[in-house]
Amino acid sequence: MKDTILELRGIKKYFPIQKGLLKRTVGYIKAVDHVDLFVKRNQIVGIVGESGCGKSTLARCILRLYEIDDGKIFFNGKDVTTLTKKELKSYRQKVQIVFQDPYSSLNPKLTIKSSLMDGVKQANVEKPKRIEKISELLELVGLPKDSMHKYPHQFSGGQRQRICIARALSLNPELIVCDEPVSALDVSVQAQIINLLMELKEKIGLSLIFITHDLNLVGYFCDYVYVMYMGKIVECAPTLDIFKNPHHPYTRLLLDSIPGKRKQRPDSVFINKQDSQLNTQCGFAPRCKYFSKKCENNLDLREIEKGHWVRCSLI
Amino acid sequence: MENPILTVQDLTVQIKNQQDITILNNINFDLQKGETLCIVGESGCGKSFTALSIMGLLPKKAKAYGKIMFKGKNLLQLSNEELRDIRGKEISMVFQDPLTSLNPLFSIYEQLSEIFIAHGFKNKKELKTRCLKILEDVKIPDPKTKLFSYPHELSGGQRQRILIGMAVALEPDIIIADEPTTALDVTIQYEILSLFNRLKRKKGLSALYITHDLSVVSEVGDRVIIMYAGTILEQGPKESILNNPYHPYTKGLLNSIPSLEKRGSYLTPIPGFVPSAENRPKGCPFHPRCLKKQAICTKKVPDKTFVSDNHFVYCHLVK
Amino acid sequence: MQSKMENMSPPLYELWEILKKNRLAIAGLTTLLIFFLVAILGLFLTSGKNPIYDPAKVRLEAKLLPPMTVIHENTLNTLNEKDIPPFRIFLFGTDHLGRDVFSRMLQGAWVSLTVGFVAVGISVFIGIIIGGIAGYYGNKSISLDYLLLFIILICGLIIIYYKKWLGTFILLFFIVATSIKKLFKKNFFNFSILIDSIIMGIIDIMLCFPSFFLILTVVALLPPSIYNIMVVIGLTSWMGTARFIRAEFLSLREREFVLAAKAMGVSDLIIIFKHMLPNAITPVLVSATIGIARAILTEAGLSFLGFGVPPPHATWGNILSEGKYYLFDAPWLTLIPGTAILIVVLAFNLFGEGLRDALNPKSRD
Repeated sequence: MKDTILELRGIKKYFPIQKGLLKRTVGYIKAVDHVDLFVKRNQIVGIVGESGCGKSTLARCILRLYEIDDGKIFFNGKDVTTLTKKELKSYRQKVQIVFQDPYSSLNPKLTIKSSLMDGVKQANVEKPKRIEKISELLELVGLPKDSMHKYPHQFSGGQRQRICIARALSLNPELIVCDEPVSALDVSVQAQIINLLMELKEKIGLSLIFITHDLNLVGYFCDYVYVMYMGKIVECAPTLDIFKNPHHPYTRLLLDSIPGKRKQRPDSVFINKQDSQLNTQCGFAPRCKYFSKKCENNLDLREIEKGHWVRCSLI
Repeated sequence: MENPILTVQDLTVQIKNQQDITILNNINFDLQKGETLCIVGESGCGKSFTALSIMGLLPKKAKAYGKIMFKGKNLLQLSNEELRDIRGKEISMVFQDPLTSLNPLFSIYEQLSEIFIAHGFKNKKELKTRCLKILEDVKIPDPKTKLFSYPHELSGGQRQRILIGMAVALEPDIIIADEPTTALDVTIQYEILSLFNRLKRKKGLSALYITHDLSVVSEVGDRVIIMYAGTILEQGPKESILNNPYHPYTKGLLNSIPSLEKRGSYLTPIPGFVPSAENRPKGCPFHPRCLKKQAICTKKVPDKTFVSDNHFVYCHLVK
Repeated sequence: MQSKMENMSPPLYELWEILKKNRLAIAGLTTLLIFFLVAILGLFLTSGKNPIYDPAKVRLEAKLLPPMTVIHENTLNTLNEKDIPPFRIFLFGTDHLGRDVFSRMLQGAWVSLTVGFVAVGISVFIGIIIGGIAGYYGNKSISLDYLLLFIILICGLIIIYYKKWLGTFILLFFIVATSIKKLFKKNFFNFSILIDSIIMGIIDIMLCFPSFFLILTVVALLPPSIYNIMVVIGLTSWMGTARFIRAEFLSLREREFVLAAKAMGVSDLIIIFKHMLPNAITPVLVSATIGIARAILTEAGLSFLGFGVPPPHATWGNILSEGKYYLFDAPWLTLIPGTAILIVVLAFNLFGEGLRDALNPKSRD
């Protein structure tokens, strides 16, 4: 498709578990396990999941900060998994990342100016225009120009997150991966950053991958949602679809757990079963109320409606 | 009103440094028997300090003024020994981070039995059954083996369950929960909240629930206090606050919460950011961020205005 | 004041604020500043053709004079006018050859200072490079082929310094082996090791040697000179720094601002030197300060044992060493250099500890 900007095919990232003196590999943690994902131009794609489900690892794989073990990443139709160092540089200009923790994502020893300078240099802006570009960027994210001479510790969390967004924008990217950009912020500041991202999406035509655990935010903000559980995509659909008509038991559990707007009591999550006793590949089985014999087979993502995919043998 | 179990009067906490920093400024509230009082506020508003001053766990540099009356005693004037007796037995606390609140070197049994031993319980056989009872109370699966496991072998949700179990183990009068679900996932958050509610009802506790998340309040609270920059801005019953807020800050907070229904339009956030404790503004503490600021807001701290029986606001706009 | 404070790099300003309150650290710092001044003055006053304070001037008629001996008309009138020190006073007395101990102490101060700084400079330099490689590239593995080639290259370069023909031979072998490898384009040994494991192995082996005896052995083999001592002390004390840097780099590597820089395509060198090193250097600074004290002590110890700086050049260690024969007749010969070493080492340690406390985030609230 022409308007697909990013396409992931069977991305795999396993972390080896090493033991002993010789660092022998005794097993793997399947942080990201065969993930397929599409991002269309000027779309906001949400990835939801609990902590430890591999969503941050996936973000880092997309940026190629981690070497992926298997799979392909296509950006604008071009395979970026086999790039040389030079080509990788130009890919990284197109795809940027904003991290969760605004306190550790800025170098405390550098002024904002020199933090932003890295990106501006990479974007091949001529020397005399660099300062101008930096002040443009700061204005774009709603910060005064003179803040470029300050240090990160002189800013609040929300302002730092704005700076991080400015840094990501300094390379004129087409896609920004946001790894829980607001979960470390206060509620009132959260909304400011969300608005800023929305504005940028409309103004510059950015595409966003928005990783979060907050379903309220997904419902408000995203066009298409991927639900991740233990390294796998268990359900994906357009946002309204998934909120109105969730199929996977995990998705339902997530939606029922949103505080304040509970329609029904969430399905109980303790089920006293050991993982090893369950004869299934399904990672959610130990917590699943509907677990039955059927779960032994067929655990592929299947399209049940147009654009709505589910990984569950019961459906 | 009935006679409350805990009354906080004019609580002011200052940190002594080169210049004194006022963390809390004239806090007044009371906790009725059996109710859950939620304290809501953003980071740095002093909500944790409120809890710590009730527990007598303020850092050394901090100095508290005012009165915290509990069972006819002023908690601020008690000695360390007297406070130790009250802590755990009559007032207990659950902290935010279940990972660091348990000592990784001791098994769950050792940590659970510690509270009983600390409060003069010696019978060893019964100790074990009591500890098991706690685990059963908080619905830990397979309590007999989990009793002898170590904190790292449990999930975050299970750890928080155990901490709540520990807090209610000696059947205290008051339990203070300081953001107990912030570090947990949404699905676990629901479990913890319902466990909290169930135990509270069962044991007839009064609870002080501290959170930054207004949507959680709808699940646990009876009454709500909205705090900002060390002062109370609004206080009232849960429904009244959530559905019919008066203070611009409360309104702003509610408007900032994104949801499916608000899709397609921009959120209306509160501009600016929370001031640090050293440079809080004069007058109404919220005025620099308030969209409806008037001249008087910058000069005078607003008075308490009742809008209904038990719902009051500190705002010049509400008359 | 306000604007000045804001423009200062944040850690530096805070550091000074906290350090200011620590009286012992300030006392240490003051002592060190005086020591630097004395050492630099000492260099100018004692060197040259006709130094003002001549540390090597032998005056046999004025030997073993106690401190504060003033030269009158009627005492020591046999002394040559040229041999009389400035102000006609032997401030710290004289030794068994009648040399002015004050002049010798001045000369020794400069030696101690340079030994301390150069040795620690070398060790920090090596430590940063090796620790940095282990921390940043540690998770990469290197095939045994390259490792062996590298070892051959290093051996060849070292040996060529001593035995020309053997070194040339080894280097030739290196070139041949490299070209064979280029030709076949495959690994001969199907085995690779993590860089981190190699470096940590080397560090552990280095730490196993009792370093003072290692230094003694090396110094005994090498021609005695002050520069050899500096280099040898530096080469045997980099392990601590390397470990610090490695540990810091390992945690910094996963920090978001480093990842962000990587994601922007910033080159490794810029990431290391602009983003990581400034954030990793603080614990190294502390250990370097205390390391200077240790280097000064080591040099004094070596000189005391006679392996140090060759006479007639004075160092605090060899003044002490020569003085030990006159411990009862002329106790100042041991007391003065001993006290000087004590004070300087103590000052470095106090300042280093103050620095560590100030840099410790726990002491900041």
